[in-house]
Amino acid sequence: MNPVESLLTGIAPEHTAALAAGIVACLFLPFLRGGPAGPVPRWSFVLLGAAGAVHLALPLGHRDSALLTVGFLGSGIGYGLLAWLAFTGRRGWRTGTVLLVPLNLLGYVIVLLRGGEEADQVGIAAALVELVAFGLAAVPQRVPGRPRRLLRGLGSTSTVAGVLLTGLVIWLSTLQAHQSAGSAASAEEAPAVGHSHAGGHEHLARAQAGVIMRPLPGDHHPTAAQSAAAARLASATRESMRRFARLADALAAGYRLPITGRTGTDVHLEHPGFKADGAVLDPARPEMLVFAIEDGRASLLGVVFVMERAGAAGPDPGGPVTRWHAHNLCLSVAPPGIGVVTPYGGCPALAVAVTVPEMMHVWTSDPPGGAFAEGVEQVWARDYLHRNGLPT
Amino acid sequence: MRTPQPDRVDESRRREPGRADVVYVLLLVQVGAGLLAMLGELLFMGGNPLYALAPMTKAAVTLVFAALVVRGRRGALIGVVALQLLTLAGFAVSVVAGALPQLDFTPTLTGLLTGVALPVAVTVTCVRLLIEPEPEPAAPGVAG
Repeated sequence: MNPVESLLTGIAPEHTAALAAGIVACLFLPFLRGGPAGPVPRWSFVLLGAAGAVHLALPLGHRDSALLTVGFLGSGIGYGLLAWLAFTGRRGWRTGTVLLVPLNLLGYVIVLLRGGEEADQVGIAAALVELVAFGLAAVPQRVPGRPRRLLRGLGSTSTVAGVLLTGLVIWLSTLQAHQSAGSAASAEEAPAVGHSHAGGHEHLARAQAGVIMRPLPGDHHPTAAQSAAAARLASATRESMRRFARLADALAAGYRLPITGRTGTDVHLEHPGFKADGAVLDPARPEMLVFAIEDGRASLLGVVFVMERAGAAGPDPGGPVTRWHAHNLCLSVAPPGIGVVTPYGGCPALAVAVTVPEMMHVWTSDPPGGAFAEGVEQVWARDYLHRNGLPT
Repeated sequence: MRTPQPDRVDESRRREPGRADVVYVLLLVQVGAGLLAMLGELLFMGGNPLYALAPMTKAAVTLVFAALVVRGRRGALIGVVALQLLTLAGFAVSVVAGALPQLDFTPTLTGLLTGVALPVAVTVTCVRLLIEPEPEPAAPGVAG
């Protein structure tokens, strides 16, 4: 995907109007004449105004729930009122912001966790803007001779905790959505279907926190020819991988265990030779194998086909069934390691964000989501290992 | 012919203290986002505490600088600017690394906010504070 395409993938179509309203507010409000002289109320006015504009514009895209619409309009009016209080220098904007932001974010994460919608970049960015406004309201300005250490400490702690917890819950909700999207797939339907109401019920991992999905070019229902091609690929891969039923045979063939995480229900073994052999989607030469390895037993669950060049689109003989995805990761320097890009788009200290080439799972163990599921449930994989595992 | 008068509102705004408090809050947000990223890496690396060392150190240093910035310490302002330049350099390295065949760069809205807009806002505000330090706010009971 090119950079513009991946940037736009993170924005849910139903949130486009809200994003536009937020951008206009951020461009217009800082230059509004008059208003507060102090930078803290001035910043708060702009951020609360932008949050208000975003919430008031959300119903333009969301027409699926009257309750949500009322909530958006209510919080939009609330933010607008608080922005006006900050602009005119009246009392109450700090208390109001400290109360409204947590309530609003709580409502957002409840909607996410209940599957009402999938977190996208606009929702997360709006949450970030609101959290900055919360911090400005919650931390009293420092005045010499009046330290207010307790209040400043409480405000500071709650700001850091708010950012951390909100990000954590958004992250968990996206992982949950991705996992259940994968489990819901079958050979007759695209994997990762059935969560976002936008884009033809296509799951696009719009939080872009660890998983980058390529939007489907067409319908998410495969044609008969595509279904047949996908079934052929799954069958050929299953047949070819019989030779790696034993972990020792895979290791002897050149697959390598990872540096960390050598046990578990999704241990990925890489073949350095196959990663640069020019072959794409070759059932006899998958770039990775996925094993479940625990208690001295191992069982092959499936394979991962990986593209050689990052950004290059993988072939999709099965149309929407053979769906590729990439991972945006954090490569840390000291000590060397790998993490996942957060919903806020960041990495830890001394790490840089990169996106690896596209990949596609093909499960040879017949998991509930089918051969092309995005992932397999840990419980199912453990049970499969106990039933089919061979000594390592 | 009327001579244009200086904008009194803007002049008073220029002298109003509070920019350091804004920097303080923006740094708190950076600390929270950094701790979240640390948790992500810890989870990936099997909970190895070595991976918490750099993020925790950065969070602690940022918090110390943040506390000193609101006290008007110029050294802390310079330290914060250095930290922000490091963040911006990290973003630039990500973009450059994306040119390699095995890697790609994925810009995201939040990534641009936290990786570019936030450090630029903090840097600009800190540089303004270095050039033109804020007046001490009036203590309680002092008229004005």
